[in-house]
Amino acid sequence: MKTYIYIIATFLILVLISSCEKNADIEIPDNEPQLVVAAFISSQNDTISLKVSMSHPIYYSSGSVQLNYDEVTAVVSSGGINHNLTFDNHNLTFFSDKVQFNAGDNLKLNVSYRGEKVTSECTIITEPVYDFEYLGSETKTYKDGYSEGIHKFKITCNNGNDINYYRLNSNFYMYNYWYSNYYESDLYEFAKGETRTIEIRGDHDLQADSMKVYIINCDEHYYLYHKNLGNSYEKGPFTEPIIMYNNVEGGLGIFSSYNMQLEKYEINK
Amino acid sequence: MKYIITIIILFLGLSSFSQAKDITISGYVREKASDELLIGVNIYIKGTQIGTISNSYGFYSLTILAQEAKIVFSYVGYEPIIMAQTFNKDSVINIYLESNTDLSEVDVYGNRDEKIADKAVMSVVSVPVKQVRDIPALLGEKDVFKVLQLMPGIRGGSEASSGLYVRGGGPDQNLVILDDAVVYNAMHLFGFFSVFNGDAIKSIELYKGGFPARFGGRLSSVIDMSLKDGNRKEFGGEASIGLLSSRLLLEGPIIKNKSSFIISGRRSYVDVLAAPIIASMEGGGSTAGYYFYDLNAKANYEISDKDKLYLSGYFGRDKFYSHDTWEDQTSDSKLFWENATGTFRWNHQFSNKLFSNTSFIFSNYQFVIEMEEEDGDDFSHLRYKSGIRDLGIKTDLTWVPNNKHYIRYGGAITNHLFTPSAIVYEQKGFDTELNAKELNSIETSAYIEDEWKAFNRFKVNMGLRFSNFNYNAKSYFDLEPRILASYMLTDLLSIKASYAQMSQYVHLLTSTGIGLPTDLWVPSTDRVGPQKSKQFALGMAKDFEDPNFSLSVEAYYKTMTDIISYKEGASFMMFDDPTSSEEFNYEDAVTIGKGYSTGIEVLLQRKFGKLTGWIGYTLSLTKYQFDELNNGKEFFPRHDRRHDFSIVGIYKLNEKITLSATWIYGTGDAVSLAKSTYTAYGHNPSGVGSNYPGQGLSYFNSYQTNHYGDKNSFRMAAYHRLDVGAQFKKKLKKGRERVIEVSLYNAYSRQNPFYYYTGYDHNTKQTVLKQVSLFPILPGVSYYLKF
Repeated sequence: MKTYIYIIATFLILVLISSCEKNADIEIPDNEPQLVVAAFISSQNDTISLKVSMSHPIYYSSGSVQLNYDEVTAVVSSGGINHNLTFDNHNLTFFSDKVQFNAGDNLKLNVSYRGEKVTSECTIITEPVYDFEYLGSETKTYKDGYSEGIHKFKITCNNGNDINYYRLNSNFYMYNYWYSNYYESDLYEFAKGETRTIEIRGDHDLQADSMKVYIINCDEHYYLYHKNLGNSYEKGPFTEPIIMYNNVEGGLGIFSSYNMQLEKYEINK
Repeated sequence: MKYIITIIILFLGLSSFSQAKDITISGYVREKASDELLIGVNIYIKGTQIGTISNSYGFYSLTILAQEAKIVFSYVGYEPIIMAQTFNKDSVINIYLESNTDLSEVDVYGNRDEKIADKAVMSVVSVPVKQVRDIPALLGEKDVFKVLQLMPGIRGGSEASSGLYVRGGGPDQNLVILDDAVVYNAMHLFGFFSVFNGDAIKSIELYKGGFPARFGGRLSSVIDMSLKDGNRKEFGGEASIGLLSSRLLLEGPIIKNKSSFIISGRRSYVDVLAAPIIASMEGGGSTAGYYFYDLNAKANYEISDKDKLYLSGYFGRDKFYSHDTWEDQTSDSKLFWENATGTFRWNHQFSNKLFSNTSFIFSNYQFVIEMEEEDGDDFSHLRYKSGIRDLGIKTDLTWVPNNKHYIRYGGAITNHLFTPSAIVYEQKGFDTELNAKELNSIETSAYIEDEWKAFNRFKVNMGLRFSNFNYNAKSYFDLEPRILASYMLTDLLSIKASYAQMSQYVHLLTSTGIGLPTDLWVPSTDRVGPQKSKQFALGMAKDFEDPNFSLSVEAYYKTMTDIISYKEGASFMMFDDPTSSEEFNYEDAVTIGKGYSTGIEVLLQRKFGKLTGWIGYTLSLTKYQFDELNNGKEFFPRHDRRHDFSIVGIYKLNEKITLSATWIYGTGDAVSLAKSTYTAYGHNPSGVGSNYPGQGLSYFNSYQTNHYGDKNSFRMAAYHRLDVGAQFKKKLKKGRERVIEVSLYNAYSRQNPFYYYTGYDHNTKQTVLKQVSLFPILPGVSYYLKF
């Protein structure tokens, strides 16, 4: 009788957990290497920096695809003027340091490599116009003994668009040396005239003595791209994947504009 | 407002329809052998369009002119009864229909009740429970929901899942009602089987559009199921043994012809059979297993001809467990989810035209994970729980003032208590409780609907539903108009159109889109409003007299607004480290969007004769749009299916042998597949803390990223499968019957993809896309005994 039970049980387990595995017999679209570009352009800066790389197909490819930078042509054009970008071996970046753009200028990017071409466009954005007020800080101590300074600011956006995309990036300093960054979500949509109270964390154990807040007015491309980027790491088996924002025709990446102001505060005094 | 005025005028005008010579025939229709009340029996005067149907409690009321008439009582699967006499005064006529086991012998009157052309309904799927038993099933486990999936407009989730996706809606948009109680998670074994044991079910109706006003609270479908009442005449039962589980049903009178009961249970026994193997493999220190069970019970008592009481309940549980012991350490973990419902109902007949039912309803669903570890003096205990509990009262009235109007009205109030997620963590010297917030809300509704025979060939079912939802200080109201019109072009051909607005105040947050018990039920709040839908449908229904086929073709367009989804990167596991005391608020993890679904459904069906079954085809398109998903662009939800085709055939070879087969084909699911990987550069404004300093102020941070293309832009391989089965029946002594069934699931062993993953092929030395298929060809055998 015991033997029969074992046979039935084995059969049931086999039935329940049996799964067949094989190479999928299905075509994977867009399974070719693509050009990837990244540039963030500001009228405050006379340098364009552009990253160019190749994507690596995951399936049915043997090893990574190496880009031969000598064969890459990168041009940013605006108002009929072409800026040919040259390659900097040290930073592995294409750049041009003799540019001057103004708010409202339309920029076009053309990158080509071995017959592959990618293009993108962006418009130079205006500087952030805002009222900014430091409201003070509070200390939060957690059960494991860790303390953190939470610094509060009030910011009113006075830019003229109905929707304004802001980024508030902050760093903490101790004795004028960089101490830590605040990496949490720092992107905000502001309506014209809208006021928000912002909490900035990352002042670990309240050891910083000053902080810098970079207030960035950015275009929608910049905003959406960084929103995805901040989430892009794997968060578990049940999460839906992050679909990276892309405004590059024929390839991947970002070509966008920003304008930045700096606010500096003494803290924890 | 105009609509309300129209309804009032209609009501005021009702009295004018009543004439002095009108008489009313009323009563109950029951099955002769068991006294079981029969739902949806057609009662009509032969040769006319005058008729009615029995309601959910077997009650009917037919008002006619005093005259000599032939009244026909007919119901599929039963011998029709014709009463030919002179009706000249109000009468109570209780009817007892006799089961006709051989459908091929149903006479000409039997054809009428299967005419779909003259019914003022559309987008309704009604599957006889007897037919569910004849259709082959995975491992022989009969499943009501899997039969519904074979109908056009309805698709299942992944391989073998009992989840339902109706006209582009998600699994949360189905209102599953068992004896008036909502069942929140209708799945056993992560969706492989539904919780409904077909033995105890009396009727199943699924509405996928053209919703009557009496139903509300979900966007996409209503699955209305009634439990049997139990045999009032004699004791009996059914038992069956299958590969996965066994079932037992007992029924009988408590007081003969006055009161009866039915109780039905089912339990799986993989854990029992596997226990010795696991014990031998682990040396006795470990145990692990899984089981599910469910129990349906119902009792009724007839106080008088006009008052009846019913008490019914359901309880079901799935549980995974494991226990490990090594040296002085022990570890226990368990994961379970359970549903419990209870309904107490009071039927009261005010007059021969007015019938009421009042229900007191309880429903509870919870999902729990528990882990416990002990190591000497140290211990830790983690408990995660989510769930929803309902308490409610509901009243429905049926008023049949004359043969032109069939009016239903009523209201309901329900208290929902949500526990989206509660985490308790205990450790020696350290206890914490997180997110143990309970969210209390009240949902109310009131409705009125009238099935109006405006003209001889023109019927309209119009209704209005008022709904309200209160959570904290936030209150939502909605008026949901419903209308369905049917016009008979000929006796066998009609055209139909419907419009329905629906509101849904409870949401299901699903991480995977396949309906796992981990999904969270949450209420509408001030930040997350109710979901709403509008659905238009246009169709035709055609009956063919010889052979007995019916054909329906329907086109629909449905819009859905304020549907919710987890944001990219968020899931139900997104709670913070307990040490930080930070609370996870689900409202921060969700995003609100909209969607639409459109399609054409064709159903060719035959319910009579030796060969019965249907052919269904659906051509559909569903798209969602969320500002915070897929960068705001439209995308296909996973369950979007362009083509869906099914053939179901049941052939009665003779009285002893029934053969059956189903074949289904569906376009592959839409999923996100990483196609390539690349370095994405971000902007680091300060340049400090960067992992890759660049030039000037424009510094770069680098992130290794996958490229998926648009969300769900990859199509899995198409799904198709053939199931075949054969039943061997034998009549035994004393009216007993036994059935042995053998079946083959996935008869040609198609390797349908369950999921894909990235693997490595050692032969080609390449990274490849691997496909995992769940079930190859699977035999099933079961033994059924009716006594």
